[in-house]
Amino acid sequence: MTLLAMQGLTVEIAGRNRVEQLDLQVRPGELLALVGESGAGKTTAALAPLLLLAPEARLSGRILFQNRDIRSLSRGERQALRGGGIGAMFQDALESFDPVQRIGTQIAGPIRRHRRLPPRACRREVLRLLETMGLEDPWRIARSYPHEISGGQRQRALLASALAGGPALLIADEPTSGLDPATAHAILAQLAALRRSGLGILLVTHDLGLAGAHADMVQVLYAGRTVERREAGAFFAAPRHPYAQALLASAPSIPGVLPAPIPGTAPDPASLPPGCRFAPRCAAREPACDTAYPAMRAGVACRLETAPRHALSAPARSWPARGEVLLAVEGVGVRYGGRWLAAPLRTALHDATFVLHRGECLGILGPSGSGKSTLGRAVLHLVRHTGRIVLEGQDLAALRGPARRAALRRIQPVFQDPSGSLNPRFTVAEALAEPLRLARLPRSLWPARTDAALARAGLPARLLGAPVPALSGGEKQRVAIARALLADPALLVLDEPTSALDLSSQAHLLRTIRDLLEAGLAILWISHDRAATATVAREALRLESGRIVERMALDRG
Amino acid sequence: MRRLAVRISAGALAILLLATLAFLLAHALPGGPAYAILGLRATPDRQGALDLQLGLDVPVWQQYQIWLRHLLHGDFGTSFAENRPVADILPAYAANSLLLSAAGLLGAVALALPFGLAHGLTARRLPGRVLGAIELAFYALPGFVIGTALIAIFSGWLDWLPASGDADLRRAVPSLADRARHLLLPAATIALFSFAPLARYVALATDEALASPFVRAARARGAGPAAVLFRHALPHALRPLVTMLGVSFAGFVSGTIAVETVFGYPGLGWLLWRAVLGRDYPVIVAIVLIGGVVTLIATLVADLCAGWLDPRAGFE
Ligand SMILES: Nc1ncnc2c1ncn2[C@@H]1O[C@H](COP(=O)(O)OP(=O)(O)OP(=O)(O)O)[C@@H](O)[C@H]1O
Ligand code: SF4
Ligand SMILES: [Mg+2]
Repeated sequence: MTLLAMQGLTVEIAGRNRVEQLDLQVRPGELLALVGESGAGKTTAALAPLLLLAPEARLSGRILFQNRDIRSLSRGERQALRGGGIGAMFQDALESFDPVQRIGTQIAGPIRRHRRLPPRACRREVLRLLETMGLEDPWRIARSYPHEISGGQRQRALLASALAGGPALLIADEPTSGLDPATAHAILAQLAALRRSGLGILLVTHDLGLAGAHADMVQVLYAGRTVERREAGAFFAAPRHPYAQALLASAPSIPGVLPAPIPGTAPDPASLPPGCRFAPRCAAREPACDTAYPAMRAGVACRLETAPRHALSAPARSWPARGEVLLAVEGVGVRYGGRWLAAPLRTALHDATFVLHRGECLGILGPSGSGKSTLGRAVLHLVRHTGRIVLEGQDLAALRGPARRAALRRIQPVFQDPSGSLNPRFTVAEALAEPLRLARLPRSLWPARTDAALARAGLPARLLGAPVPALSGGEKQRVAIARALLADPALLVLDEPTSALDLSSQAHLLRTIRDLLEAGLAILWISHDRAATATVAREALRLESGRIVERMALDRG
Repeated sequence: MRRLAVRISAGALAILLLATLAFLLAHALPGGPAYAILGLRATPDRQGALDLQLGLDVPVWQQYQIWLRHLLHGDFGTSFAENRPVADILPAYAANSLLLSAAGLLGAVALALPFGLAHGLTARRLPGRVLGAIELAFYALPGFVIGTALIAIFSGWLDWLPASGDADLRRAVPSLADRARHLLLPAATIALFSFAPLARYVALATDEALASPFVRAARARGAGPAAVLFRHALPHALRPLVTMLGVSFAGFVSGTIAVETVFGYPGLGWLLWRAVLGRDYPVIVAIVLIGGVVTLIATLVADLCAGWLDPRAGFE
């Protein structure tokens, strides 16, 4: 029996096929990993079984859940399916919780609705679920509002909410993108226990390491179509489709060496190539590739019997020279809480001390909830803190008024979620104009500045007129960087800048970061991904429970 | 806490300025109290005598000093027209006004919530557009037009409700039902002219909440339409509603004054109108002062409530 089956599924939104002729199967107990660049249609495919796509989306083909066509279900049955038969969590862990309701209440919803437990048992179940997600203090998490817990904690709570209704199938879109590898693997190990009792999982992820370690099957999407679908072990031992090979090659592996992004960009759904959709970027392309879409043979949609193995890797690049000390952080601590006398004060950062030089990128690593973002917020002066922060020889606490604002503009943030920080009603040019308007720069100077910032952030100038929602995740992230650069900063604080990006976009971004370092900028790079960090940073601070436990070199071991 | 203290002292200063302005404006009105009281009997001698009696014979700045000193001691002065302390006259009118505005405000919220929710739910479809147009119409209509129209329909044409006053004068002790009947039309007028902007904010917040990822996530967890509306959309609509109530309070107060005069309802607004006609300076200034204080308190309370409704407030 199959739990979920999509047969020839095509999803059309605004006249474009986001997903085309998709065949997909998840059996009970099986984990299927759906991988591919952003915009490949993974999220569309994951949303379809819940019938939660935009109202203008048109489906054709069939989606069977437990052998019933879900489009024949009544309203009541659909509601029972959502959260009950199929538990789902979506990519935006930051936005998937209602900001004015406590986490516990939101996890309890599906338990009450689908399992009809009485309130006390419900509460106990919430705590149990949070605990299985590796959260140490489930009681506090349950009582917190979403903004009061860290990104990784929120993501785990979201996964708990997807499992709360006791589903037979879990659809998880990037469930671990904000987590350090150890925690991510631990959570998948927890899920393995549920899989033994029959839970099927459709996992959408950019993290090939995670997919390699836990998936039974791997399905690679490119521009809305399946290009390879094979058993996971065989796939990772030898990916056969040229696109799959390039994708694997764009994962960072050697410290200091930048991974190679796949050349070119994914095709615009409005003008797809007539034949193989990967042809414009494919190194093994032949004239025949442009005539017809290659048929699927033995799980691979490519004309070649055996594609030549891609050997992509960028030439090693030397590290830029370190300049003088730019930032000195001395004994900085942060405490949260204390609002309305209700929440007790909690110390999230103890006595942090370190220095950062011009042209240096310093990684901030550590498990989820260890205080990485808190450290970044303290440097950005977004939270109240104790201790001293000295930038360019000035103690920031001693400054007032305009001098303080000017000094703080020299430190610019870029956050994990690029869509959250860019107004969706803006075009790229408008988004970039904001800091210039704030700096009261005469309008005539704007175009030159924005062009230069775009170029430094590695974006083509033609994107200026594009509306923000039309950009891919990687492009949005680089627009956010360009915007930060327009404030003429000496220091960028990047909080998990790559965790929402696919490998190829990540490779692009890492390259951009190295360029910025060479131009003398300093960067604080907050991340849970040591391999990616090691390609842009030589050293990193390791945090644990709010303390800096070491400053370590990344190029050894 | 420090922010609160700063706001309260800034507000107190603003009110003092407002009262001073009211004092000066009242004195700048053409004619004077003596003339207004004496009417046709006014002769220069009689006016001079009365001015002396009312304390209007000294220069304005001295009057201001005296007034301010009394005010700081909690003394609003004596009404020229009734020759009684203002502090004795006001409470009865203030109680009437309080009743009327409370009823009007309640009515406005009772209209704005369902109206705004319905508008927000259907924002991108025809019903939403129609509701939006209705809101705009009510927003544009001045209070006295609505009031006059209600009087024409419900007391002129249908003859269901009284057109003016606060109670039937033919009875010695007005019954509660009678008071309520007199309250109905003016309160409805206030509700009708002030609900539109509130409804609009509720609609915006509802629409935004419904389009947000957390609502999609809630639906993925099996939340039905009712749960989405009441658990997720409504709480997000309440906060802007409360903030708007605070912000629009000044307009609400001035609207109440207009409505009271249209309906001859004996509240502070009506009293203010009469005091202006009679050049009764102490009463005018006292009412302006009360209006300012009430508005200040309303905005403060609304801000506090909005913060309390949103756990994120106070966090950068
Ligand atoms: N506003 C807040 N109120 C109370 N506690 C908070 C608040 N923000 C964060 N915390 C807590 O402080 C601790 C550190 O949070 P922080 O966001 O710095 O973690 P992090 O290292 O960035 O984790 P992640 O990798 O999961 O993003 C966590 O235990 C978190 O729950
Ligand atoms: S079909 Fe041709 S263009 Fe497409 S992936 Fe295979 S070799 Fe490359
Ligand atoms: Mg974080």
